[in-house]
Amino acid sequence: MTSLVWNIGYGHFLVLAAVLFLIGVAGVLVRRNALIILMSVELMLNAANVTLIAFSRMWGDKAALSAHTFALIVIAVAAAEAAVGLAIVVAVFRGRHNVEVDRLNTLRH
Amino acid sequence: MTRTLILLTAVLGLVAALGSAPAAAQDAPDDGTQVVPVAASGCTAEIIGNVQQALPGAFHLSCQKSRASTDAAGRVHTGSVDAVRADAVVNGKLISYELTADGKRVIASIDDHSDLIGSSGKGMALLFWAFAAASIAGALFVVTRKNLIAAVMGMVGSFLGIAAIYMMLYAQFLAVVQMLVYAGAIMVLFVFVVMILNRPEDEPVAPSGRAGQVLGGLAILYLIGRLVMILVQVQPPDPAIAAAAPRGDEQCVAWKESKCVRTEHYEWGSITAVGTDLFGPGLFPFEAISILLLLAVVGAVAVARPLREENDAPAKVRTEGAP
Amino acid sequence: MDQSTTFAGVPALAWIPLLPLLGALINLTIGRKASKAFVHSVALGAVVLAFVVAAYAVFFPLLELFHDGKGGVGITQVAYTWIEVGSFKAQLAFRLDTLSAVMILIVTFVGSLIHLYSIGYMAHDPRYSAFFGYLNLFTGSMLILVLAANMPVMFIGWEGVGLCSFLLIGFWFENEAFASAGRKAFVVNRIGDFAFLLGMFLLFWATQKVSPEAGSLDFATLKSTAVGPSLTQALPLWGNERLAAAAGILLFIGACGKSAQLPLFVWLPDAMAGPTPVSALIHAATMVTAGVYMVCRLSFLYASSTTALIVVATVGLLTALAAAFMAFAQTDLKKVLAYSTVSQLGFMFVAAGTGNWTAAIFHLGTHAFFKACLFLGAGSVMHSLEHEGSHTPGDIMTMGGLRKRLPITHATFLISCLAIAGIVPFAGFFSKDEILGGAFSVHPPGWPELYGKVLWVGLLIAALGTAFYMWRLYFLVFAGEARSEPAKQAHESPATMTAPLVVLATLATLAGFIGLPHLEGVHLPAFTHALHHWLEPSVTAEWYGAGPGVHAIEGEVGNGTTVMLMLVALAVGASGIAGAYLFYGRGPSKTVAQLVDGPLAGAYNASKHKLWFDEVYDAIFVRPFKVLARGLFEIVDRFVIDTVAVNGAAFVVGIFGRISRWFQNGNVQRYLVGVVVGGALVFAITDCHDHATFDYKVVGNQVQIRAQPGSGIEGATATIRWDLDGDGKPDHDPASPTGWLEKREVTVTGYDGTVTMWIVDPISHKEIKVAKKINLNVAAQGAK
Repeated sequence: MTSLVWNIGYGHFLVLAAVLFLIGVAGVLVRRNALIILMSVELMLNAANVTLIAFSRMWGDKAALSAHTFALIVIAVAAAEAAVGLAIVVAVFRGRHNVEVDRLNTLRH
Repeated sequence: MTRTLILLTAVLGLVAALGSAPAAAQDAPDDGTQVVPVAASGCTAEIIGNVQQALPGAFHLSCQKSRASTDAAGRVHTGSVDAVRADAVVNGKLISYELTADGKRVIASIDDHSDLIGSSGKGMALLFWAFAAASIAGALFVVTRKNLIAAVMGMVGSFLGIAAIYMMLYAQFLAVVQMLVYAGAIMVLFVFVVMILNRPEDEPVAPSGRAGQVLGGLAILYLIGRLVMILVQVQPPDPAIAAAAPRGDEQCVAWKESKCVRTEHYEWGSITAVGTDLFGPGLFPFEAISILLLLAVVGAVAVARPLREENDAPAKVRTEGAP
Repeated sequence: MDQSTTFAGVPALAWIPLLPLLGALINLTIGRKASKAFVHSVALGAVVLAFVVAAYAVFFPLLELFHDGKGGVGITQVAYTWIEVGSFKAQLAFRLDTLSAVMILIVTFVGSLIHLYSIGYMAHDPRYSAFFGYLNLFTGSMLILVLAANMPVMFIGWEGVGLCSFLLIGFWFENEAFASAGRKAFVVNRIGDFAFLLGMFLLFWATQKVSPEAGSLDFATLKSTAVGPSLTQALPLWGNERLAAAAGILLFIGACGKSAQLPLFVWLPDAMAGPTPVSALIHAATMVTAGVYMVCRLSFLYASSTTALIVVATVGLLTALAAAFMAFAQTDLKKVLAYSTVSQLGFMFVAAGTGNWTAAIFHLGTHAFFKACLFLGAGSVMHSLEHEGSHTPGDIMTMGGLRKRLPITHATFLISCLAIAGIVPFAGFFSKDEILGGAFSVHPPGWPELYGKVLWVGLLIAALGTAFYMWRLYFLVFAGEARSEPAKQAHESPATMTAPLVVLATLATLAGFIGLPHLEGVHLPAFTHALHHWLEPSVTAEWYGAGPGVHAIEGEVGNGTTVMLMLVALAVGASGIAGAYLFYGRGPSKTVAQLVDGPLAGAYNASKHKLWFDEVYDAIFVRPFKVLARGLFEIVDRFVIDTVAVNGAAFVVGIFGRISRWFQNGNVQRYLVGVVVGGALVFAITDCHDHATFDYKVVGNQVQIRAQPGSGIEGATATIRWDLDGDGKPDHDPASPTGWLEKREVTVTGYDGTVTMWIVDPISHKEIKVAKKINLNVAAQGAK
């Protein structure tokens, strides 16, 4: 058991990423403020990035460095998505003066 | 809130200091039972035995065809010579060695970097746990805080922790990018919007949809438990942190009469390496992402802009002029 | 005409029932649009034509056969094979022998007369074509019944006449009571039909026991096997009794239903709800006689079992007495006639039960004539009264003095009353006398001679009663003075109605002379015994299986006894008439009224309430059945089917819908819940689990063994121990930290035996043991 603590292996990173991902999912499930939900989504994307980098490290120089490129692209996409998402939140807020997602149900039957 | 952050930073600093101090040498394979060289890739038992004789306490063996390597004297070894590589901790330092094909003799040592890793596995482990805790704590902040600004700050902390993690994984460039872009730009954007909303409070848990929350929460707990159990039960592989950085690619940087004169190799995960990959094989994604960013900017502006009557009225039918 | 004579592809005999059936088809389909003349022409023409064909068939080919001595065999024609299942084969076959010949002539002739009568009687009915269609349908069914060559075909006719009885009794179904009467007739008939079927099955089974291929229900086959041993085999249920008894009694119960004997007669009085021609045809002349015909047709069966015959005779006697008793207090014209029908049928069954088949058929024929005449006369009376505005045309208390107003009806009615009372020389005298004579002299083997005498006395009492109540009816209707306005104004019915009356009355007068009894020493013309001789080949004259030797059924009686019997019968009839005249000669009598209120009150009540048969049945059968039906409706229909099955299914679907709707309410967070739960489920379910094992490779004289802990996360950290020397205990390894041999890969040299591997799961601490026998193909000696 001590080996798990002192000998950090790839598994640790992967589990860390998974835990972060699941916390992000929990955030999306439980919170109702749109901003928090967006942040939780960012968390999830980050967790995916960590996984990518961990595996890339595992392959070491046996594989190309494309994982880092991939992660970079993911960060860029996350930025774009955050921007647009926040813009939508602002627009919604302008009309309704609140950003609670459980109140955004006028499209329901 | 700020107090917690200060405390966290202090702890981290302490741990980092601890980690860089030279510690007991026998750290790497501390309790040797779990370090089994058997599963090393492609090495026969004979070679393993030989390596262990030549290099006592060696671990992280790999037997493969080697690439061109530069030894400590700067000589370039080219060609495809079957080589055995092993890591060993010597004098408290972690050094990667290259051995002969049969593993009996050490040829060269590769990259005895006492770089940012330090040499103490224990220290690295502590650092890992610290930063992991920071990330998770930050994530939990996001999910559980009523105060939006607290949540945003938690997110920032989480990202910083993740950046440190990247660093541990030798993804230097990405660590910096993470800090710059994520923590620096995206989170700032979030702060702006929080300010715009001017409603910094929110219920930590949505009051409705209890059934879904409970169900989802249970599932998530189960998954976390299961994943941790997987980690616990799977044989931990070679201690990655203490391992040397992967070797980078070789690049030919100077030609003379179409013959490569000098090569350089880039550090794995460095900006040069990532740049080479980004502008090489990853060129198309790079261009595409730039278009995406443009679209995002335009879209964000278009969406968030308040409606103005004249500009947004439906187009009138032109009655004069040619269409 | 012989077996293969066909006309237009259909066997000639089959045309006899076919013609009325075609008439029915025409009338029931297009009759409604056609004119009345068309309708009754088709109907009457069909029956008359059938009569012509029947007459031809009887008096030419069959007569020849009769003279050749083959009257009992007759002509059998097969239309086609109807059922062929396993060893059972039933063909649609018709058989014309002397017995069925008599029947078809009666049915078609009387049927024609009644069709003619109906033209006048039903002239103003809106459903004219339906009536004639049903009448034709009935006639066709009755002819099928009578001409059948085997029991299934007879059953077709049996059911057909039951159906038509229902249709015709309930003809004016707008009246609830009439519709119920039709239903009652059908249901009671059905009970009898069930017994009939059981009897049929029993007979088939019996013939099969004789020889498997001989299983059939043809009358010819049945007769030939009846003389054999099968029908006399003991039926375990009944101890020593014979199979014939069981079959006979079951079939007789069917006859009870059809011919209105105790206890299934309750439908016949109610059946008077139908139009009078229906009563005349179905309930006097033809349908009710089907039972008698059936018993005579299966004479060999009944003759095989004394028990069956005694049952038949006893039931017949009881019926005759009970019905006569019930007729005393009736005040409805047709009801009196109905009870008299039941009573007379009892007479016929007594005749059959004493083995006197010819007497039964004889009485059947004469009864057909005079009873039909009586019914038609009654119809004529009621028709006239209705015409004059009477609202209760059948109530005899409102009649009287009609002899002056309706002369023809009166004359024919008078003749028929004389016939039914058994006055010489009318037909009823001779037929009744034959029955009485047969009963008097019958002596079933094993029974005391007294039995016949008892029957005789009972029949005499019944005959006395018959005469009395029939003449009470006559006097109240025709004699005296008119007691109501319609009766004062009534006038005679049209010719279409009176002509059949005349014909029937004539027959009632003359028909007796073909069945005169034998008198020794008196030489009577041949035709007086014609009926007896004619029927003789078709029925049996002996008791079967009654023990050693064969006994003839008919006992020997001397001249004196014969004449004495005749005189006694005559005296009884005359005294009945006299008694009726005494009491009712001038109309309803005060004496009777006093008697009825006084000493005879109980008897009168019993008679008026028909011995409470209907009430008893209602209490015992009808009410519990209704309760059961209601219970079933509430439980099975309402609850099980409607609530549980139908609504329940919908409810379950609704529940599922509700659950499914939970997942899809547009809330994205809810969808994510589904994703996460699904992911967790995937983790939970998938658990690859190779079993722990080891594999080995033989290299030279070495065996390289490698442990496979199996997939699954616990395998990687499992502890492994080996036993490589066959001592059953884990091996030691000084080089290993724990002292046990724990390597994953081991090499064994020169061992030839069982290698055991223990692997302990670190999580659950479960120990798995794998043992394999290693086979080395190398000599163990010399290997190190």
